[in-house]
Amino acid sequence: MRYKVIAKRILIYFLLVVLAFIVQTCVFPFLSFLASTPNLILIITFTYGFIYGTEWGILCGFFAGLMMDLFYTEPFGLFILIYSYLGFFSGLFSHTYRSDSIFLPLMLCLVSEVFYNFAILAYRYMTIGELYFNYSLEHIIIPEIFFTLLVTLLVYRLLLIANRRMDRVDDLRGQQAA
Amino acid sequence: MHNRLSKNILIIITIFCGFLMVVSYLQSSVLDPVRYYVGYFMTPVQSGINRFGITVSNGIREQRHLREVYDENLRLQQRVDALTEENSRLRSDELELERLRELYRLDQNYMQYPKVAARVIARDSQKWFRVFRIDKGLSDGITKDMNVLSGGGLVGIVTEVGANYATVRSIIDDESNVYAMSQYSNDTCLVKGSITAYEDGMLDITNIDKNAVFNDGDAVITSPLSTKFLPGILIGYASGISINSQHLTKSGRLIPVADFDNIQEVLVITQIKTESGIITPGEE
Repeated sequence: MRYKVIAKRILIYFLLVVLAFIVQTCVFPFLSFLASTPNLILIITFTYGFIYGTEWGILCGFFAGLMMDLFYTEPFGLFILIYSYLGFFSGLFSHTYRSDSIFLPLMLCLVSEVFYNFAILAYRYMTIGELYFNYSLEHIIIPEIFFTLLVTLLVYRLLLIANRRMDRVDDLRGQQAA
Repeated sequence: MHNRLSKNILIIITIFCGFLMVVSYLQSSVLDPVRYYVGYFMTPVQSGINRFGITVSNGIREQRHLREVYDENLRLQQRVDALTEENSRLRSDELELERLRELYRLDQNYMQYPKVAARVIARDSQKWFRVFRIDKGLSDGITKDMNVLSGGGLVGIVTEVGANYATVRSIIDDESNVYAMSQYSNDTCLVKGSITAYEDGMLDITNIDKNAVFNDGDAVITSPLSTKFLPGILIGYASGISINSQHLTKSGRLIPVADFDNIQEVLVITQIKTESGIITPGEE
């Protein structure tokens, strides 16, 4: 890939993550009929990791974590770390990527969500000293996983279509240049 | 080859984040400038999209609640009648109170702090942390540690400020502890946030002396002992107070006045409590 294409992609992913983050924090929590909110930036992270491989997964994870770290006043870097690892992890499966399969993305989403929530649970246990394991599982983790899986069904397809179009444009440009 | 590159990136990120976490844990203000300038660009966008979200949400809610509202309106009308009557009675009481206050030279009247209104523009999407962000910041005179009210009761405290936004940690957050007291007996207690208690819409009250006069239904207000919360702000009402098994202290639950699930507008008190008393920042 040429540098121009890479730079354009980085910019697009960054804007996409920013947009998803804003929707996630400024719109969803105010819809009071939702029991929990889907984790959009996590969906973006594992989707790009899964489609394009570990580097892009880490990149999206980095942006996603950056947004979270800028929003929360927890120690800076915590979410960057979690999301980067998630992006890397889903990138490991990119060689099995097939555009028509939805099962594997859903499994990846489930594993990512579980890893993400348990990482936060562990962090909170370290800072507060209390675990509330059953409570957290029932009231926070499971609703969030459920909603995120539901939204994945929709968002994953959309991202896929958008990416296919972007790839095609990039390919055409590449051919013209060559 | 690809994986090796990613692994190297990952190692770099791990070291980088570990370093940042340690630094920001030890000295939490190090990264404030970064958050400050990012907030400068993000807040207007967030504010706009938030307005859109609220419009959508309100539209849907309006449809759902039209009928409920109709019934409620009838009930409220009766309530208004009752309250009007009560109000006229209280007004005469108030006049009496004023006279008595003058007699006692009780010039330090709580709850008359200067306030600034602000809108909530972002909330944590996950329920792990109970923080939210408001659309007023340094340029509106907001500084760290200012108390935030909503619906007549204490909601939280400002933990971080940017040029045009501020982050508020609500008192239902696990990390929140507020020194409070019973308005009736002035006996002190500690109001703690807890995600389990908040599931029932409550907070925990602990550390009440076993001999203290503390009954269910007592109004709980912030205590002058608190280092960051201004005295005399209503938090909520005590409920289920009972003596602990060790017979040393009493504890119970607190029903907050503010509705934490539906905060859209808040009031920020523009005075802060410091070791040298209550001051208005920027006026010295």
